[in-house]
Amino acid sequence: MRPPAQGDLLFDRNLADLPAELRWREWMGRVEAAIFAAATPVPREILSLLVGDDCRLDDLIADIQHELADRPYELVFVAGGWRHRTRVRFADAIRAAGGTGSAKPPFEALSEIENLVATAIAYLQPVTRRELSRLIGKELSRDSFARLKRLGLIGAGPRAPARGAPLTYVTTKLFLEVFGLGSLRDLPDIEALEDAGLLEPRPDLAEKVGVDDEFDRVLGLFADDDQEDDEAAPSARFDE
Amino acid sequence: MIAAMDSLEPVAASPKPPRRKRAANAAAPSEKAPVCHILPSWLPRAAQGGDAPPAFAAGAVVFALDQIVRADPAWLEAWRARQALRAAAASARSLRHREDEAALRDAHHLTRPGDDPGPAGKLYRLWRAFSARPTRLAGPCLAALADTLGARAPAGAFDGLTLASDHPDPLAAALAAADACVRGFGVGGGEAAVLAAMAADLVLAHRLGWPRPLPLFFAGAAGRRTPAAEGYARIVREALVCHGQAMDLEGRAARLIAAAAAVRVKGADRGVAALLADDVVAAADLARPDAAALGSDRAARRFLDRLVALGALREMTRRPTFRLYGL
Repeated sequence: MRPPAQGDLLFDRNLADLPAELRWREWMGRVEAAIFAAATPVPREILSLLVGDDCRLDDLIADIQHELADRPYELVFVAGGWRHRTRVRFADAIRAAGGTGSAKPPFEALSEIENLVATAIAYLQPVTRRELSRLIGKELSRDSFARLKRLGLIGAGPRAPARGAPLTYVTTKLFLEVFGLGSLRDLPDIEALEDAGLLEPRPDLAEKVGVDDEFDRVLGLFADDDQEDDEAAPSARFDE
Repeated sequence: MIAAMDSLEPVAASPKPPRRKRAANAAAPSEKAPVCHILPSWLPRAAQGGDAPPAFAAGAVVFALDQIVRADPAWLEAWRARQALRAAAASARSLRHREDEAALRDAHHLTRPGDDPGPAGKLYRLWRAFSARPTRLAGPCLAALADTLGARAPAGAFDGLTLASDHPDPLAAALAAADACVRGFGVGGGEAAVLAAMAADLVLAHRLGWPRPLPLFFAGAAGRRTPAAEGYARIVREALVCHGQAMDLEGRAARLIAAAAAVRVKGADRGVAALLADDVVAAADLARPDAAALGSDRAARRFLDRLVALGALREMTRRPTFRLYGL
């Protein structure tokens, strides 16, 4: 029994009967077609199932990108895989034509605060709502987090070891995809922020075990308000 | 009398033979003579750059490590997990994550099933998975690890893996594999350094015939930037530190097994086995239905706290809650 990822027995990966140049064209066609047809970025291991064992996938993709050089779309590496993307300078044209017309969630409709939250989580993850609120100096409503979570841009991370076991948040693959990042290292200015020490852990912002300070009260933040209704009580799992 | 002596042999001093025997049977069937030997005092000096050629010191320390892995003591998995933690911490520094060892532990142990441990937590899990899978010297394995890291491995980045393993000296072969990996990526930092360290571990494990790799090379320690001789000296020092860890763990494991015999709890043997198999455990880990070791969360916590009170176990976080216990 072959694993399903290996595909059809009749599918010929190696194309040994074709001359080298035709074989290369065929492989290029296959890889581009697979990326074109996929709804999500296609990772390397999937693409390598389409071509022969001796095929250099990076050279192949570079050739495809070269061919697309004068097309309005390009092949980009985002969120750990390859996908087609329209070039940025055609954004206005697409918007004027009434958007993409697909049933995708309306990411351009993120509010300013939701954008801020998603970006801050990307830099500081895993981070709790309280830590972020302390950093920004303003209570961030749970609705922003809930909306981002519903859109699939952020997900649940490890529990913070503080009273009430608040949930931390991390960004998802979809976040990278939507913001056009290959990985978190591609976040703008991340090196400069790190060098300035702004991404270091801050003891004054960190979740404390069982401490409610004045600042939290002003912000309206309390230790037990981060427990989510859909989660089981954390005390069932962690010691008190 | 001689027979009695033989039965006393397994574990170090403890006042009550019958209990000790039971614990030894339950938790550590393979525990015999100590597997860690004290290294001669000239060895650390030689590794620091003494008169002896570095390869001489390297041979001695690699032999010592090899003996431990081959003896397969009960605490081998704890050792492996702890090395994975140290390697992950070095990788986290190389990838410029904020997390230190304690934060990595938290990220792994406080993430509930199905949740995302975050970038650094994923890195630690990657190292754990890497050290848990069989040694296989194949490029695609590492390419899959690269994908998990979110790095794009250029074609041929891992070709050096098989070439380098022809080198007569296993440590030098491992360093050569790391160099080849870094050259393949074209950069010395970030993911390339992590993968180079993994490539080096794989080659070393393959050359020594270990069933699974032991994380010994740390990101940043192997790579193109350091001169070969210096990299070699550094890995010998790392191996010495690793051996020191093993000596320490062996003592702690013996104390734990002896103490667990005094704590008469149902399922104590499973609890001890879980402690010997990982870097740290949370009380909840021992109370999971699948492990079914100690019944309830509360019982597990009482068991662990009792062992801490007996000095046989350490609580690693120094927190009143969310405590993690380990050797």
